Amino acid sequence: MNDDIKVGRHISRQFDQELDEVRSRVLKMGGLVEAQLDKALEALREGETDVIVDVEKLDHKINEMEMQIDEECTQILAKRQPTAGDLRLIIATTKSVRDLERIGDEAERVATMIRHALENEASLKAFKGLLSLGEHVKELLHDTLNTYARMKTRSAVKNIRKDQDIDEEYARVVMRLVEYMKKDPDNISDALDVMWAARSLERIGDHCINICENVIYLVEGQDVRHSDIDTIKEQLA
Amino acid sequence: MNTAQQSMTEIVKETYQTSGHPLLDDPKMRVRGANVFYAQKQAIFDVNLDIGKNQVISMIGPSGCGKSTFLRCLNRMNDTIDICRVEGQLLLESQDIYDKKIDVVELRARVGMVFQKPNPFPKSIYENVAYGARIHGLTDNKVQLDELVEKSLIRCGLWNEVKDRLEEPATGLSGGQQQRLCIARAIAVNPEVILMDEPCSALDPIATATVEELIHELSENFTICIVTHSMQQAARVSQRTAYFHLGKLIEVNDTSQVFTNPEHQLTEEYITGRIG
Repeated sequence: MNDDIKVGRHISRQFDQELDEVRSRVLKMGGLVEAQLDKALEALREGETDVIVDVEKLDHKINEMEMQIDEECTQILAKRQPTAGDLRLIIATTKSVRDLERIGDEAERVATMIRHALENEASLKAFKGLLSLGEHVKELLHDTLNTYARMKTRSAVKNIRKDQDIDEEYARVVMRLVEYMKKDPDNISDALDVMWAARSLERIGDHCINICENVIYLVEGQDVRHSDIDTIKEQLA
Repeated sequence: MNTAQQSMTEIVKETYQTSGHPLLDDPKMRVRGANVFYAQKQAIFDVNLDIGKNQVISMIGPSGCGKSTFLRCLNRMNDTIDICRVEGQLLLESQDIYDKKIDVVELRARVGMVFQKPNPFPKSIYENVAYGARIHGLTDNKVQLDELVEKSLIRCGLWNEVKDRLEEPATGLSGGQQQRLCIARAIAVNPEVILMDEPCSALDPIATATVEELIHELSENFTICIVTHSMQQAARVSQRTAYFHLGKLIEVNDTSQVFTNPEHQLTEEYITGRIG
């Protein structure tokens, strides 16, 4: 595994600067997305609706940043015709930015569901069961952003493994919700809301993995999408 | 052995491995252990490379890396430089092109060359294309020669532009047209390999695109080796790319790989603009 990729040292310092700016903007966007998920979970944990407004506000900012970063990448492609590692950085970045924007959308969806739940005592109880899954997804998102910042293949692989645990946890949440619905058909509407929120959290995990796969492509030049973890490890050995 | 000879021997002994896939099955040209010297100075070090049939291979690298020197070895163009000495085995099909018995004029008909600056003869457009065929006796009469000139100009996409002024001086054509005329002149003698030394560096983007399209079309019938300073051009026109650095062949790989995920760090540094 190659855990080292050079990003600076171009003869054109301006090019170095342009790439640095794109990378730091992606990390800033990642920070906003992380804050969005954090606030959605905080609303659930504390039973506060106020923070949910912030989640919605952040979503506009995140959408703007997605377009801004895309434009910067387009300019770099047009002006610099990047190759090799630089080309992979731009490709991996434009793909990762799309995933970050979608993580933002999913976080907003979770927040909206939580707002509905806060207006309904029974539903809120069911939602509390999501806290553990939410915390694990938040941790994965944090680790993913670190992986992008440091461009480390090893931590990307580690994150892919973590997402498997999240998928298993999501399956357990769904099973519990099915039992809950079986107990009383009146629970179905609430349980479906929780299930959608759980689904959004699980999707955030999937987007994190897309970003990790982009990092592997960026560092190793290998496309590991649609491969299981053992195959990925073999490919990178 | 004097000091100069001693240091030269030491340099030659320095071994290195070319990354990627420099060798092929059933190549058009085969180069083994090529070393080139300008007097005491070594310009090319132990190059091993196969050039595939009907393929385009690009040679890239910083100025002075030896790519043009290497290209010129392939049709013995370096013979014109007194102080230049070429060692190693260079085969065209199975023929040793440095065999003392070989007719160099005939070799250069089989391995043609197009230069950086269009260099038409100070003759008519017609004569520029007909000249090679005439001296090699490729046609029996004027009708055949006319046909050959027309066919060569058609293949280079120049026929419609010049058919009504074939007797006019070639020097009156635009730079792009002159370069395509030089390519027409090279293919008129039906070579097997065409060497191109920065063929588009003196051309504007439109003329460059026309020549690149021509290279693509010609590659169906000819083997083409092109030296270029434009990495985008190498990426566009060639199937394989060879990267030279300080006289050594650092990497040879499929062009698609070289420009997205090169194997050697020096290749990566050069194509991403980290060394000049």
